[in-house]
Amino acid sequence: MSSPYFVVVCTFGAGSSLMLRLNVEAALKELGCNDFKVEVSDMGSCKNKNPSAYLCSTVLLSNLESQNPGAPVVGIKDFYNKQSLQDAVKPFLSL
Amino acid sequence: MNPALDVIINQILRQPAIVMGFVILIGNVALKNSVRDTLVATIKAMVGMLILAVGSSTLVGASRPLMQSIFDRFGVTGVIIDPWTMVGEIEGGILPSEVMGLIGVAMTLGLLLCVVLARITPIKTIYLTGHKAYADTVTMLFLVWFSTGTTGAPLLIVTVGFLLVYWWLATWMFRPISRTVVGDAPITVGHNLLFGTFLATLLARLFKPDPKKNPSCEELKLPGFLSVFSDAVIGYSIIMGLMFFAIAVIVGPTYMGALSGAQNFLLFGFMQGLQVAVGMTILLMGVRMFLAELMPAFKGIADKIVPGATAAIDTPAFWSYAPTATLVGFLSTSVGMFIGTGLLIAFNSPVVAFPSIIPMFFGGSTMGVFCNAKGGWKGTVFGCFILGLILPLVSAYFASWVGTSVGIQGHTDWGALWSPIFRVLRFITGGA
Repeated sequence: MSSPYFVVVCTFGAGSSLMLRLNVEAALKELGCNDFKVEVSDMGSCKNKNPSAYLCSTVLLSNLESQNPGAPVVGIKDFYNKQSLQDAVKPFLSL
Repeated sequence: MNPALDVIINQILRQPAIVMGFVILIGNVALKNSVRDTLVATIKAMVGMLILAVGSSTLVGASRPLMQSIFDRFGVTGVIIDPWTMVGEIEGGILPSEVMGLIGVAMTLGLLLCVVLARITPIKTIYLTGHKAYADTVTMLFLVWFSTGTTGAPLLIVTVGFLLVYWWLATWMFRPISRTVVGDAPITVGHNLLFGTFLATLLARLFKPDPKKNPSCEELKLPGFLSVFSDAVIGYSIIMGLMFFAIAVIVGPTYMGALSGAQNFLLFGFMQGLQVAVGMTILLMGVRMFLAELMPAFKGIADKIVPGATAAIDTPAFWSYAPTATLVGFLSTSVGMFIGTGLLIAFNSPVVAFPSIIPMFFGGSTMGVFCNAKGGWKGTVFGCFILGLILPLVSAYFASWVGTSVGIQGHTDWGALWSPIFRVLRFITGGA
């Protein structure tokens, strides 16, 4: 199985998503996964990237889902909760 | 002066892109990164800064003809309440070139000194919103230069001092409010919305939350399509396209036609509105490029030096706690802003400030989340409406004395907090 690939999306792709990317990377390493790719994107240019999953704030969930039909999208409420970040990415890892 | 030294001081060090590249270069060397990584990071930071400049000049260029037509037709100065348009205008000629090179240094110094202060004092907040840090730095540098007339090292020191008050102290003072929404999560708002949101929550508290009479916004049903505005490209296109179209209608074919040339004046207005979305998209691409090099390294350093600090981060991280409140805040703020702009026109203000999507959606959403926690849905509607209403008024006054003619900073903090402070400073020192 190929290494997991996540696209972290926020409205600008510059502020909160960058911080979420760093926290998601930390969560992946805590789970023992060291071969991964996490990319930051804004709402405007996140289409057709075919990631293992899109990750975003729960407030953007419906917008992101309608822009990317069929793609797995996981909404995250607390960007700084390690447990919930691990739970969000775990299903997409081949551990 | 030695010609080589002259080129270094008066040309190279005045290029924001080179200074930012240099900052990234030093950081990578300090972190002992490989030559390859260092080279890639440095070039990306420099090119990112240059892309940002292209985006901001497109933003300014998109608004300029419309604002010019308003001036030609009605004799009033029109400004767009948009942070990036003001940043573009400042960088595009208002700020003297010898000050331009200080942007990257001031920003980096401000961010790093936050970490130092968090390490040695009990106030442990680390500022992590890179694109706002950039916009704040440009605006603060301009305001300090404009209000005091200082340049060089004194300008740098005073600017960084103000930035620290904002990034390190004000974000910490905001913690009691952020706690009402996020509980014990170690985050606070890192954005130039702190003072405005504080005022909005004060107003919201006039309404007592009550499960029956004044429930949380989250109990309301709102049309979900409103969330399309969370896509910056869509938000900019819709709002600016329609507003510039409306301005073209109001100004009329004679004055607008003089600027649009052969193109139909209404089509011209609408297309200029879409150009704002174009400028924004380019600008963000550049911002993302240099922040992706700067912020992860910075966060890594900060985490090591101040473990367990409170992170001052961008506002969308807070929206997830009350998604419906963000929409209520957006709508109330927008209504307030259009009425505020209407008041400026009705009372023949010499400067008219027009709303943009940044304060409407991004400001309104954030104020909405915190107002909701303090005063239920009624408090959210009231607090956001009033703050929306006063934003064009304070922004118009702000633009009138700093002399911008296309853009003015996007959130209430600049008009309501920093504008009076720097107005007084300018009065005392005489200014530039």
